[in-house]
Amino acid sequence: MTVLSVDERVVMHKRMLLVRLLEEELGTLHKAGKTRGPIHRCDGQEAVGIGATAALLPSDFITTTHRGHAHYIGKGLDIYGVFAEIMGKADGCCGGRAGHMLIGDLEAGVIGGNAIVGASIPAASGIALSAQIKKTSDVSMCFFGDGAAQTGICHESMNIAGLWKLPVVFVLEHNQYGLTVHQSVQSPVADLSLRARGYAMPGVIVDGNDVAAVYQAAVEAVARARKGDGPTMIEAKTYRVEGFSTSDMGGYQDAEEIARWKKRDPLQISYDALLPLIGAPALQAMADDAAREMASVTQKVLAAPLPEFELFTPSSPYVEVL
Amino acid sequence: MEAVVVRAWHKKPGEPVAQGETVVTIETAKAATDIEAPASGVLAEIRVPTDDEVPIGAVLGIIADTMAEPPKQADAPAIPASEQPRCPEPSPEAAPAAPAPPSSPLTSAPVRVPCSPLARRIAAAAGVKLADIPCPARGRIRAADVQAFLATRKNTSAAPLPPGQAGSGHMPYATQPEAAPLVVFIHGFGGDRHGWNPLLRCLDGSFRTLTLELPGHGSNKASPSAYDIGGLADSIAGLLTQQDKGAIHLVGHSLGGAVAILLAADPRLDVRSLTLLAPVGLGPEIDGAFINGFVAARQAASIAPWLRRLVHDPSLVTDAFVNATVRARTDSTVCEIQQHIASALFPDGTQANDLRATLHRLAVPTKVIWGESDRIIPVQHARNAGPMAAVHFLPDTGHLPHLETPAMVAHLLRQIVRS
Amino acid sequence: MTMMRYAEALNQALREEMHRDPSVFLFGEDIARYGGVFKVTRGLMDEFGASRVRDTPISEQTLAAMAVTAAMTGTRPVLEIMYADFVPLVLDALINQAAIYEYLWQGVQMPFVLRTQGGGGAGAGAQHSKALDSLVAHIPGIKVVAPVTPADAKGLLKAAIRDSQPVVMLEHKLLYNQRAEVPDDLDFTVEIGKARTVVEGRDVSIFATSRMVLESQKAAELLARDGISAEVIDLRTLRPLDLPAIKASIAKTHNAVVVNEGWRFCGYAAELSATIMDHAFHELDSPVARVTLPDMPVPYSEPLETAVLPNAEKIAAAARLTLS
Repeated sequence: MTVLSVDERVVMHKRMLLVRLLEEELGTLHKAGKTRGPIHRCDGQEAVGIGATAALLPSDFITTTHRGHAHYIGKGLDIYGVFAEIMGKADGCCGGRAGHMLIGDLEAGVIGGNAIVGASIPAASGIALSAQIKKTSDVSMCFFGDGAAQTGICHESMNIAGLWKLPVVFVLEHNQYGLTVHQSVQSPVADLSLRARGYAMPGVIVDGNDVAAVYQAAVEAVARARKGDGPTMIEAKTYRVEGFSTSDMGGYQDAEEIARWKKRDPLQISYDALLPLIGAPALQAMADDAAREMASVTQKVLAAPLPEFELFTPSSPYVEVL
Repeated sequence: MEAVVVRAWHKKPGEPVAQGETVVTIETAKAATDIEAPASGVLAEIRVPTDDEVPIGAVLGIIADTMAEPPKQADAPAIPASEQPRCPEPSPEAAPAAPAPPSSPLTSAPVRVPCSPLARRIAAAAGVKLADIPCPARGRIRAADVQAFLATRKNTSAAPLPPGQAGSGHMPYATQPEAAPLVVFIHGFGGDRHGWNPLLRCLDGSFRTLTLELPGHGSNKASPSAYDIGGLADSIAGLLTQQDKGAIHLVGHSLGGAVAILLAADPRLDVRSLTLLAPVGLGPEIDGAFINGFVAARQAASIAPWLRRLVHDPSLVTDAFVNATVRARTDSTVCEIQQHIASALFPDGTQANDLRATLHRLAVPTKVIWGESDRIIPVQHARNAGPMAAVHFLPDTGHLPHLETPAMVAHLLRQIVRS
Repeated sequence: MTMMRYAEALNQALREEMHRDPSVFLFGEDIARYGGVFKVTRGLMDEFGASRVRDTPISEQTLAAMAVTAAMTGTRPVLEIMYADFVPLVLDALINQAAIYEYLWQGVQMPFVLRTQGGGGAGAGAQHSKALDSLVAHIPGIKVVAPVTPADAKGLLKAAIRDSQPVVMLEHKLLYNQRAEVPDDLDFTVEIGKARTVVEGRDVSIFATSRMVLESQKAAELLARDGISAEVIDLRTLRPLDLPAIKASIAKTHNAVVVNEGWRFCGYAAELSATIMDHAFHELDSPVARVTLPDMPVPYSEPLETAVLPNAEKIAAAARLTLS
């Protein structure tokens, strides 16, 4: 078991603070009618994305879902670019063309948010296949949910990854709900990592609200992939405390269940772990810094210009542009 | 050049007419069309009496605001009159009875002439109104129709026909300057020269054309010198030798085909090619029921079934087509002569004349064109055309290839005339 | 030039491009040890090894999605989808994945080729005989080529592999045994987006795709006997369309027949017809005539299948219709 350094814990704690502030700010802006379309917040799930991506090198790749804010930030995307993209601004990391579900940045190794549920899984396998063909040591990490785990392509992708020993890490961010439907109504088993055996890959269950536990599992899986030993499935148990999206009317999640999971807030767990190591004042200073950074980023994003439309001609159906 | 025949005036001079009211019925190419008044007023003048034939472009009559202001010659419409056999909603400018004083209100309702985009463009470039262009049987004007119209117009303005000539049915209608080859068309039994119009339109005015009428057909009310094919051929040869036509290309349909075979063998004529559409003379069979039924028929109800037997696609036999045929069969002289011809040439449902040997001896380049769905004369007769003739079978075509697939026949005709 | 079969020309294209560029790899069902059910990849696993020439599980949806991201991250995958009838399985990868990223994440390239074969005439039944050209040609961001001759098969496949955008290559099961001369030059390619005039003509233009080009050629011969001079254009690239070639031909003949083996309604022929209307309306002297499969499944028994497939006679009849 890898022993985490204090510095590593601090870095992950800071990232989680920023992601949480981003989600809360988006909630506020949504209520104020300043956002566009549904936004899928990851409040309460930050530890999975931040912990798992911390095990990757900048040259590695991730693929993610419609709920990818923690994954984007964890993989190194600038929070201003992400926030501006979510707000449809010209400064957004995709110039406002993509929106919050489809952010991608080849240089940063983010091969995209993906809002077709399950599509991030073969996407990661494809990147891993590319690495295997080119004989590089790159690793591809896939984030997907318990809803996506029920798709046919999930089975196909894991079968191929296990068969070909592709350098991929499947991180199942198990937040209990596929849109409004509880996992117990979607699958006969609660622990989906049971399936890993069928693909000849290790399947591990971790506490998805403990960033250190996620990180440690990811470090092992990434190392295994990089060595050429093939894929791993990490089932990170967590919970979606803010509903499916900002458009969610709610009513299907048990209030008691939400309260129980809120007590297990990943930020609180991380705080409790750091408290004996760095003390309350340092933690308070981190929180204050994050709040100040977020306030300044928010101000800048809101002031940023909107993009101007340009027709995209490479996809024209005619050889001459009309 | 094409012509129209005035079939009936529905108003007398001096009678008031309302915009949209039928003023005159004209006929061409086996189709009659009612011409409605383009504006309200008074029918001031009838210029073309009933049964007279005039070339397209002639003014048929004048509508004036009142009779008190009779129109002067200068008020005659600049736009020539026209006929619109099948096209719906003729443009107001196209109507033959045009308002005389400029103050006379023209309807401004937008009207549409079915027309291919290319034809529309050519017409616009030439400054021609679509409504002035005769609409062919297919109900849609194509580029070739515009070009033919332009050629006609050019010819008309260069050498206008003397007034007396317009009405005489078997006068030559040359459509091109002298240099172009002269193609002579001979219609079939019971037909007349208007039957060639769909084909002529497809020829883009490529040739000079001459449509002749057999004795006892159309406006040729003369009897033949003898009731056999030789007698019919003599009559046509007489028309052709009245003045020297020089080299000619012959096109004959059905009975006209048999006549054309004899003409091609006539040493007095310089025949350069022979095109036969479902010709008589290549075998004994013919649909006797058709001959008898058609000869006897005098009204729409009895004629329509026989007309439908002529074609592959019965929708070509429109009410207008039927009515025009009925009208053509009201002349007792014509009917009598045709009855004689039928009993002499097709006794007991049999073709009495065998022209195979004559055809086989001809040195003239020959094409035989036959619709695969011909129900009048069996398509198998094409096999008897001899080794020298080129034979073309047209799918989905009956006994009237020049009406049913005029573009194809035009192609084949160009081929043989130009070769 | 070497005389070879269409399948051999494709094989040669793959071999040459794999030698030229080590990032090119092949995957698909039955393509490695067996050499492909149409033998296009015969011998390539022995030559390039089992890593670059892979047999796969029957997982079309995933294989296509993998091709997209593999292409984005530095390789040039060539995926074989055994029948075009399985294209519906890969549509998510094409429509929701491959088609969007070049625009959303400007700067990314997706140099992958999806080879498949469609069409009827082989008695393969309703699930293995379709030409679903319109499904793929519909997608902005995907190029679609459909070679007819062995030389074009080789030249277009090489061009497709070298292209930076996704290319779907539509082959035809009845074309694999066509033999013709094929250029040997290692750098021989056929430019994507260029149509080919097969027969020059004056009276009517026949625009055809894939095997229908051969039927259109036969139709032109039938028409010639009637004195009709038909021009036959092999579009070769279904998307992007060689619009200048289409316009030039119609400006000459003023009549158009479009021929595609797919269904009629919302089909590729419908798009061609609309394109002609959009861009050459004022040159038209007759309505565009479409020759397609009727809107029904492809039947199995020979007379039934023959009845639905477009052929030279049907094409010639349509051409005559434009001239009537």
